[in-house]
Amino acid sequence: MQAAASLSGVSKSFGAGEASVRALRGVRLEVPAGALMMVIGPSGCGKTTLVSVLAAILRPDAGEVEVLGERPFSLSPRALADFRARHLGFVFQAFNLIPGLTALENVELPALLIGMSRMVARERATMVLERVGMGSRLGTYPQQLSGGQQQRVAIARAIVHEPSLVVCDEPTSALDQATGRRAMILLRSLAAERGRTLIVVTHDQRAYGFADRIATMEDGHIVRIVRRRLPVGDSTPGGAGDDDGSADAPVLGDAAQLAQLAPPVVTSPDSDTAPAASTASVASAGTRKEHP
Amino acid sequence: MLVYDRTRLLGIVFGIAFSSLLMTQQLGVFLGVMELSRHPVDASRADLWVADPHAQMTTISWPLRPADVRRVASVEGVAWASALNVRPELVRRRDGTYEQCQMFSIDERTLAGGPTAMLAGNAEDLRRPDAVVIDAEAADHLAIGSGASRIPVRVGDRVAVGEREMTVVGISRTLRNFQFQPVIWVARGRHEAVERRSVGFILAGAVPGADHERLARAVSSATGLKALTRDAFSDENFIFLLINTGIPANFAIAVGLGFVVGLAIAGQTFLQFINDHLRHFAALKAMGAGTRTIMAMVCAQALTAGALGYGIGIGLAALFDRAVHGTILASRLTPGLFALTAGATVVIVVIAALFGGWRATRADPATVFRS
Repeated sequence: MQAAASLSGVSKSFGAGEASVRALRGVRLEVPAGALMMVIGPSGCGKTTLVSVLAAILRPDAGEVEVLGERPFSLSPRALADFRARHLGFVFQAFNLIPGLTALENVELPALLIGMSRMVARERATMVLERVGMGSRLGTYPQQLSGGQQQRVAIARAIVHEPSLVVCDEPTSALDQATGRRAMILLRSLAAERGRTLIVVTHDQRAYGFADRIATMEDGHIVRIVRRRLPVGDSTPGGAGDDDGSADAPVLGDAAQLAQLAPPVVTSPDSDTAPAASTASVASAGTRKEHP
Repeated sequence: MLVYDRTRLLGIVFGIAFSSLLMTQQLGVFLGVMELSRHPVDASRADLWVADPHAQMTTISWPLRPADVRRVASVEGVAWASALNVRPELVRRRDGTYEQCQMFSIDERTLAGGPTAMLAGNAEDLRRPDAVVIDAEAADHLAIGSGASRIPVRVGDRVAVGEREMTVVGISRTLRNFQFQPVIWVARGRHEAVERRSVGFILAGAVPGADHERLARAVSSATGLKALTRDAFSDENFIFLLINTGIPANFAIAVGLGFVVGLAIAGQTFLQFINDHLRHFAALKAMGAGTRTIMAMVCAQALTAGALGYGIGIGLAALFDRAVHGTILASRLTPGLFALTAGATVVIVVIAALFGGWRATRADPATVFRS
């Protein structure tokens, strides 16, 4: 499968001297096109740095980064900004909707940034907001929306310009269980219907069940990658705004439950394309594998 | 963003409104005060003003000789010439108190430089013995008593002009002047001797169809005196005050303070607004918004706030101008003045936007993943 993003030997440190913190230590990772990859791990393990590099926002100190067939950090700053605008979508933990702009205007922004006319951007934004179940709140300001509704607007904003790669940072952490679940269902279904690649950074074990692959990070390394295959149909359960809580996507309370959903394949990050023969569950795969 | 952030928006709008009000109002008062120097000249109905070559304005002129009036009158193209003296004079009320007025001693034949718009009485009556015409301001100032018992000066009343008892034969519309003093007119030939012995200015009329500027040059050439058209003399008065008094500097300080205070309030508040919303700018940058886009957004918000503040500021300045119209206070608002303060406001807004924009464009997009 072609990789939507790949990292090879990527390192990144912050600070200098004794205060220096090595956030990424020679990370190697491939994110297959069309996959929903989750990046998990304890606080401070380097998830945020990893996703910032994958999103072509943070330049690594060393290593190769390729995103959608492009080496983004070899581009000029302007071309890099344009690359992000055209090909990437973002869902932030704190939503970061622009106050003072309505839901519709917020969603229009990425489309306007890539040069769409206001009319086309408005049509597109309206369509996407309707798709995420926010069609009746087009003129509502972010502060007048609930957390779940803001998240849906943020998701609409992330996909309105049809990006190939959507980067989600803790998309469920600010939401209650039911709302978080609905947000993940929505993300999963929107990704599946257009073959988009999703990279999701999360602490939220309830979300693990939506992933095709789960990369576990520790201390700046990817120590484990679990490949999963969701049953057909589970990726697009219900639809946006499906508030009955009966959607059939898996939502698990812990890693053990995740293991029961589909047989995981635990691989070394070094051999992602040639999984190790292992039947170990995610829960039991606690052994750290150092990246070479 | 700024519309949503009402507190910051109000702070910026207030700062710019205060600044544009102060700048517009102070410049309006300055222009109004300076324009007062023109009024006596503009109201004179003379085509030319002739004075000592070193005369600087209507109150600073070396006396001319009475014979100079005839010399001016003899220049080809001059239809008439008459003397005019302008000087301060004390006028006593009936109760013994007194007021300083600007006294215009005019030629009783031509009445040039005399009152132009009579509210009561007749300017021609200045030719009667011991006659004085006063303007409405003088009539008000020379009133006796206060409140309901206040007795204004009327036509026929007697007032003492210097040491001489005179009869008020007319009341004219107020002639505003740079000295902020009431004005009275007397006939030169019928006033005290000093008025007859010296001449402050010579007012002259041109024959119909004559080119006034050319005529002024001819009079200067023939007499060696300073001869200017009415407009040129008015301009000279204005420029003299502009250069030789501390008035422009005082107003410039007030206007400068308005500018600085506006810049400080608007700039500081705008920068705080940008700092408060850095994460939103960081998110926009992460989403691919370039420096130009961010700057455009920041500038659009600053200009919107600036336009609001400027509108409020000049609105209040216009209200002030209307409120003082017809009072002793001077204020004059012109399109040029509005353009000037609009320009200053744009400078304030642009500086605030540049600082704010500089900060916003430096928002680190990677921070959006660290919240």
